[in-house]
Amino acid sequence: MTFFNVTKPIYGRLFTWLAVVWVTSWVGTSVHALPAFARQTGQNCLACHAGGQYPELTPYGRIFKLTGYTIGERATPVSAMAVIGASKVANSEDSALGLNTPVKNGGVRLETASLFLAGKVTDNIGAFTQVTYDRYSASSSGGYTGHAGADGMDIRYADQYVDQDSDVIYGVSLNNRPSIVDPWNTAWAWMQYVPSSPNIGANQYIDGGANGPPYPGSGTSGNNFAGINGYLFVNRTLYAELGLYRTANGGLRFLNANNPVNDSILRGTNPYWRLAYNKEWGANSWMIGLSGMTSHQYDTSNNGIGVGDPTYYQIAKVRGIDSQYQYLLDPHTFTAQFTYQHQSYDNGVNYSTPSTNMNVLRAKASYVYQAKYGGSYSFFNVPGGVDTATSGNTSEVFYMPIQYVRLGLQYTTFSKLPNVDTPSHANTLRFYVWTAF
Amino acid sequence: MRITLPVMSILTLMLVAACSNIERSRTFGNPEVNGKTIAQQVCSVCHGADGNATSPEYPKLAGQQPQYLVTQVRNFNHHTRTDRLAQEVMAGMSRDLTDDQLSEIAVYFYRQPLVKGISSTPLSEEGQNIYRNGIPAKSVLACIACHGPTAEGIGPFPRLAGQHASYLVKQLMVFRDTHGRPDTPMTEVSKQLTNAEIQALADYLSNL
Repeated sequence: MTFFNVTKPIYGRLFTWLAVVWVTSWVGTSVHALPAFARQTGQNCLACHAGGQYPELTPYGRIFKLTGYTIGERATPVSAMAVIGASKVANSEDSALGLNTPVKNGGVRLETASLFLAGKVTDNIGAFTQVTYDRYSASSSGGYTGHAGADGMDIRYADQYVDQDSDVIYGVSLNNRPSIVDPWNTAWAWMQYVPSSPNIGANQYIDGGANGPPYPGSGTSGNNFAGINGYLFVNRTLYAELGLYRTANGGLRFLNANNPVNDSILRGTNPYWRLAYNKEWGANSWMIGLSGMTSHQYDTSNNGIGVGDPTYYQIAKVRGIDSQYQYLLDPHTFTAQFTYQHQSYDNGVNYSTPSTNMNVLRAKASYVYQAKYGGSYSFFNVPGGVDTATSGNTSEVFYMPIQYVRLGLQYTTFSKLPNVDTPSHANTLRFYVWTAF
Repeated sequence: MRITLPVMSILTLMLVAACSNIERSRTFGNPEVNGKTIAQQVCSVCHGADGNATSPEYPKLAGQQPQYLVTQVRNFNHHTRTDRLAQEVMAGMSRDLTDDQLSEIAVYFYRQPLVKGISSTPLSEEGQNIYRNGIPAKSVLACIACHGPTAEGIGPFPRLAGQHASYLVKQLMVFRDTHGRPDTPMTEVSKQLTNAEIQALADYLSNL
């Protein structure tokens, strides 16, 4: 197929130009000290985010997203976000922890920061685009070096036909990650504690990086692709989505802007699919869904050597089931989430790692009172041999004094880590301040 | 220069959509958009396209008195109704609605038939008694005087029949315990009610 097989840079410049026009057309419009979507709708964050917990969406927030971020009036589409944190690892001297050692140990520091260009463009088009600065992008003998590059990107066209008898939403998304289009928080791009951890990687569907430090997020940053997805949400009950992903090159390079090209090269067009059943009753909502992807990704450890050679790529097949329950009735917000994936990797003979299979489980429950005081507990488990097994849990309490500031204290314990005799050495206490404006 | 079909399709969609979509717009700031469109495309997300909100977080608007509805939205906008969710959810999003749009929205919902929920509680005799007779010993006036014999409301007095019980409880407590909804007779009426009496009233009304 020839999806995105565009080599002329004109399209990249075209998208840049459209973005500039979009931003400048809002100069002089009302500006409040709130993120872009809140300015657009005039609402508090909790209207869209359950109990004010970013990024988990309420039923209203899901419709806001599925209708292409077009509810409301066009407003200044720029926001920023930052996470400042401090972590303490139980025994950072344990050399066996190796790459699994959390990289942030010790003093307070800026962990990550993001800049967003997000909001309504026309009555049918809207966007959520994020560029993130990763303080711990690469390690060197002297420590870590930072890097800024494309993070999540989702540009949509959507429409809705609704009356007293039926409700049909459909849309098309140009995006850079499998599952980023999804409106439920159990999608792999979204199940996390706080946004933009340096390790947030939405591409476990592709790179299967779930046996790294698993929460929040896992996998590697910068693995972005070019995807076009179509979706349908019927009577707020049935959701179906089909996406096709390719390497973000040519005119669509901006979807992986400023990230290494060689980290994200796919062979051909790779399908992603998603089906979900949603039910809302009283203050409750419940979803159960299936998802999957079959992808062909070239080895990232060869600096592009072997691209085009079938012995150098990995065929990753991921099949998942996930479910989410929410109870939202002021002042209470309760959420339970569950996701389970079977991942199989059939690697070419020259691929840097052998073929393998992996099962990944994540579950999380959270409660928030008055959109201010909250806590959560999560569990993660990847069964396997000594070189793959990962298991543990994270407990958290948090406080949101105002809607765009969150203070959190997390404690993560590990009962299994790959090739680590004493996993508890990796137990981590973490304090963070999240803010967006 | 070769342009692939998908890229052409996306650009075409963007160009087509550059024009506003009046019939299915989700904006609140365009006076050209009909109130019915806003009701269906925006209000319906929480309140239901037929005005029968699924979640008790949001009031049912089906059969609600238009005059009451318009007054409340303007109170949100003018920050004279300041209960928390009214301000956090409603005040901003309705800020630029024109009077015509607001009237059209109110009439749209008034014309929708109210669908009673499936009640888990029996019709409260205590609630019925308070509604019809008030509580003379505490000088609590009978609700029926303003809200009508079937609790369907009259003009500025809202329909209460069939409303979510938890929403009614919450609002009565806003009247009684806060200054979030000032300048109504309800402040005086509610201040003598106990939590149990409020619950009984809500149980009765939500079952009507």
